[in-house]
Amino acid sequence: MVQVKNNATLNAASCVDEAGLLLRVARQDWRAFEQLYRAYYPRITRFLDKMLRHGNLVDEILDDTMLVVWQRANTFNGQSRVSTWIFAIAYHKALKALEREGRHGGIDGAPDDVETSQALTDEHDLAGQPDAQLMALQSRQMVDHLLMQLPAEQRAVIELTYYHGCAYKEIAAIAGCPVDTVKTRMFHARRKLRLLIPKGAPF
Amino acid sequence: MKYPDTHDAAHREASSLLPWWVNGTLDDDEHAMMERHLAECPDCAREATQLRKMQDLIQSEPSNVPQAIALSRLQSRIQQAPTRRPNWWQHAMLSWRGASMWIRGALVLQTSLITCLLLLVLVRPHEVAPLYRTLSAAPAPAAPHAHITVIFNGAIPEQEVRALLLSLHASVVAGPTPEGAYVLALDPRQQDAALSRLRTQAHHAVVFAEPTPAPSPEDRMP
Repeated sequence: MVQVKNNATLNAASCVDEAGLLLRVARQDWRAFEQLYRAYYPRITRFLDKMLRHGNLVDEILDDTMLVVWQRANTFNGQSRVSTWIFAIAYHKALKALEREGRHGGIDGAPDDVETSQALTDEHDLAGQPDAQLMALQSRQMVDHLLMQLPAEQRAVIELTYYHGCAYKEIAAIAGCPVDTVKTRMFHARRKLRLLIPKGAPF
Repeated sequence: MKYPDTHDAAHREASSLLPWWVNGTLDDDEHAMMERHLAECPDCAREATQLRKMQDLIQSEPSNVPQAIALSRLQSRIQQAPTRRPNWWQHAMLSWRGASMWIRGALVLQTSLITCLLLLVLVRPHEVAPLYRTLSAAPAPAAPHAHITVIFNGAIPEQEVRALLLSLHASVVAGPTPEGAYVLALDPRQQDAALSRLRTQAHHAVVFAEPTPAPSPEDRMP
């Protein structure tokens, strides 16, 4: 089981490196693109996996995203971090794909699914005394399941905050919305998760 | 886990920032404010603990898709010409991309030398191209045509592309593909010189230039 590290701490040196790489990509330097691709592949794949809810779209949207990075590197103006720019591309591509698939969920959200969450709890018998690793796995599945109940924009805020370690200002830049909108989406997401977490859950 | 029902604006503000306290991205002022608030608000302190547990769970998932396959899939897509490519060509392309500056330089030099020798032996001087050509008056290259697949740098303006194509006496016979690939037709005797020119003098404008089989009739349709 591979522990994927939180990317919250990108030090200044690697920020400069990435901007340099992107500049070379703008000059159609394939080696530079390969490096950037390798650096971002785990994060973008993970992000899209959570956004798109269905694995068969992830490959396509990942390719679409990195193709834009390859073709439009010359449009990066250095005003934001490279990570913000790339995540913004992925985010908007994912939302478009969800819209096409008709699974957007909307801002007001998917219906509350308390029954299903409770069924998940019963099935895994969290009221008993399972061992710690099994319990963690079940909880992770539950969190995953709960997150999939959220509308895409709220799910993105949760993922970008807790997995990718983004500041709220950065999330606003990625989503192209005001900071207050990010806070509102987080507020709604937390409230909804609270409603969905069944009794007996370990957190 | 009850959401605190209070009119205290400071508490609401602090509560709204809890997720970013937990992930460590608050700025210095916000951080100091949160520390003060958490010292005096047990509800927020409890919530911070819950959010931290959620963060741990979210971060503990392994990643599983092999990266090398995904990269070569994208590479194929970027390189895809309108026609179907034989494997040897894709291999040649990857070799070119992976080649060091020295090898590329040697190849280009070799090609240029061979081209010069061929030109000396074979080619008659071209007539001066008319200053103005209509589409119908455009001289067709001697059959059979040679074909080159080209991808131009997306930032290059159309007039520069046009000037380049005119100077090569090449016409566009297929493309563009979504990735911006065009197939050019030109006099076979000019192919090596054109390739050499595309790869060296025009390298800031040209991303990719390789000989290609002729496009089939279907491929000419956009």
